[in-house]
Amino acid sequence: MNVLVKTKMLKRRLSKLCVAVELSVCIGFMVGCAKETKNADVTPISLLIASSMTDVFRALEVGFLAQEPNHKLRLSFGGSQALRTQIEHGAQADIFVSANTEHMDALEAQKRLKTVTQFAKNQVVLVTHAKHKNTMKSHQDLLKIERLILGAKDVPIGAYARVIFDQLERIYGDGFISALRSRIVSHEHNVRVVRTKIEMDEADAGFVYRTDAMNRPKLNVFALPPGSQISTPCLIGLLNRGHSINESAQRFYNYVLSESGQAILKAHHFLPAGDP
Amino acid sequence: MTGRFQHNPLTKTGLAAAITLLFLLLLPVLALVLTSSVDAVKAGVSNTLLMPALTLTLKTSLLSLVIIVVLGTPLAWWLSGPAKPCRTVVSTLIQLPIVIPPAVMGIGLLQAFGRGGLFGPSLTEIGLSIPFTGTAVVIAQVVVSAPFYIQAATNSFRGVDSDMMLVARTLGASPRRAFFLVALPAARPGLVIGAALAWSRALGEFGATLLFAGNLAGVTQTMPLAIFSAFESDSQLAVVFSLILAALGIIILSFLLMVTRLRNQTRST
Amino acid sequence: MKSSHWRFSTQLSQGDYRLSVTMEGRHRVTALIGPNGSGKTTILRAMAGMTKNGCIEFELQGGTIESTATKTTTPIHERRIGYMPQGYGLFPSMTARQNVAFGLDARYPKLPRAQRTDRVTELLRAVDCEQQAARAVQRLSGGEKQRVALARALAIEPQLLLLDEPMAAMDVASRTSIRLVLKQMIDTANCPTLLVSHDLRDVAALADYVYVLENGAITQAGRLDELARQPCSAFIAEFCQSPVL
Repeated sequence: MNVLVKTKMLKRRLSKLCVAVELSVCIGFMVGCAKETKNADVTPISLLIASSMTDVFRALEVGFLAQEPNHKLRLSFGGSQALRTQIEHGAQADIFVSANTEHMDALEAQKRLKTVTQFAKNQVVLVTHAKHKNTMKSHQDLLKIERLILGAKDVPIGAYARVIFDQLERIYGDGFISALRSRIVSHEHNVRVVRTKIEMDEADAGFVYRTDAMNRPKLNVFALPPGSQISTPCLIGLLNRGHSINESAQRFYNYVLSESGQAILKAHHFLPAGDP
Repeated sequence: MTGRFQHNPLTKTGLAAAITLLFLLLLPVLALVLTSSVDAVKAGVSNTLLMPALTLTLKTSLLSLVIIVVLGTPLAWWLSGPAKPCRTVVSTLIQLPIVIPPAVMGIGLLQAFGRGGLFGPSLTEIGLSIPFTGTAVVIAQVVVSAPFYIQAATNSFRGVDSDMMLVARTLGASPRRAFFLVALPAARPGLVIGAALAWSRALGEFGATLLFAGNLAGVTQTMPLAIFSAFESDSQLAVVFSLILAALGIIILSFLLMVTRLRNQTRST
Repeated sequence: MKSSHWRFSTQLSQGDYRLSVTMEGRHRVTALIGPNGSGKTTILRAMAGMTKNGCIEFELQGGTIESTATKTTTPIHERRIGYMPQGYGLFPSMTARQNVAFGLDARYPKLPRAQRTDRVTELLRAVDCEQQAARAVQRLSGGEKQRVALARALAIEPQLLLLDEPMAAMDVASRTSIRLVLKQMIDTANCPTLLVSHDLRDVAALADYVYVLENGAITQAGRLDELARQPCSAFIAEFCQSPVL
């Protein structure tokens, strides 16, 4: 066999090999995406976190890694209901942080949770754009606003807003509340979008968590009457992930409940879980 | 019509690649059908979210389509003229919404027409407020889908014989008459295809609408937004809504195929 | 010497391309021949009214159609010029009858319906296409297309007929007979005609006078037999070297 023929054959084989390698890389990549690679050394802890707790969990991540540098965290944020749907559809996660009990209970009923604890509390507040600061005194002033935005009814902040509406109705009567309802222009999919749209002055007012309204110069917190204030639980759940229990996830879970974790939460204006 | 080659044979690896992609493309639609049940469809159809979202989607997308065709046709006609630097610049700029993600266009629209945006103060002065209204939905749809029509229409107008237009003029037709009676009918199949493409794009508009128009049932909640909302409470419902929107898309596609076949028939005879 | 039906001169230059031409239509059918790319079609389009930047002086039946010197120009749709481009430019969305009626509707919007119908039928009969009146133009044969296009151009009673390569789309076998029919129709129409062709047989059969356009300028003009006797360029010599003469 002469050299030319050999090289030709070699080339052909090589090109086949290349295709095979490419294909297997592609498939490997897809499999890798779908299923976490089990690397014993640095298994990242995967956390799904309600968007209202974005900032505080970024701080908690930093604090945790300062104590335990050998770990890796992967944070993903969204509305609690969207995260729950992701878990129900098989998203591989170790920890779920929710802004209300409904979604956590649902996962518990499906036996997807190992343990769950309330680690802090938050409050729901009504915020307006800062330009309304001097004109918003009484509840009647609320009717001056043109655009009120709520969370969608399946988003915790949306569900809480509806509870507050019911309580306001009890206090001020249904005439007031239906007038207020007529100002609703949108049901947003998470609390941070509500805040952004108010800060952009596209909307006048909306319900957010107290912690979301802190240190935001463009926002003004409107004082709701005493009977309509609600505090909300912040829940952390350890998820069952196959048979093995992720040791690192347990450590992070403990850290959130530890003194240093609680200090960070307090610095971000969350209330301790034990408060009435 | 004869193709470039009599056969386009595929190697085994090529075939494998083609089948893989085909499978990926068809699987989602197939999965929608397979994972749905008659009961779920019944429940979905009677859901209170559906009718307002469906009628809103049809109303806004058809209005968008009319706006796109009325405003886009003269532009496409101009763009189809001989190449000039200004034409090249304009036709490139028009492609921008195709390459820019709709969500980015949504933020851009807020910055332009929002109360805090560029034209916000002047719009407020004349009593106009656009975000969170049906108008915002239509604007978002027009911005995102018009390029598809303009591109198809421009290509179609380019195919109109310039000699034929000159003949129409020598026969006594004014430029306007020649355009409406000769150029428009000659370019019609391409215009119809472009319009259908733009319409289907408007039907599916999500990102720009969500950011610019918000989400309120009956006012700004179009089908894609309703699907997104339903997904957060009941994924079965989202599946049924998706099936309905997919069915609309399939109707448009078969209409497109019909028009294309019709055009090929008239060309070949 | 007869007075001329039309007189046309143009000077234009675009980059490397230069065109400087003066022609006169003293005979009924004048032919313009020349190699590909010499600018024949450009001249026809300029006469029809598609002007590029350049100087044009154009008189037709004693009136000024266009004059760069006096800055007058008649809009295309007000000139009475019948233009039949290469490929005929029939309107594909219309029937043969609608094509012929197009000019009548545009020029004489107030023409009564019955009269309009009669006129169109008459025109179609003159070109022997009465049977094909209701047919979509795509379904016409090459010869029928040519005749319908001619009827359409004649409908506006033009003062000048411009024919650009009328035989180019025909297959060779049927050219001779179609050429004869075309000759008859041009004779009957009795309208001054400028014919562009690269085919000696067309020119021989149809034209009374020939202009030769080479590299943007007229190199020779005269009757075909004069050209054949004393060709002033290689192109003309070659053109006239044909067994037909």
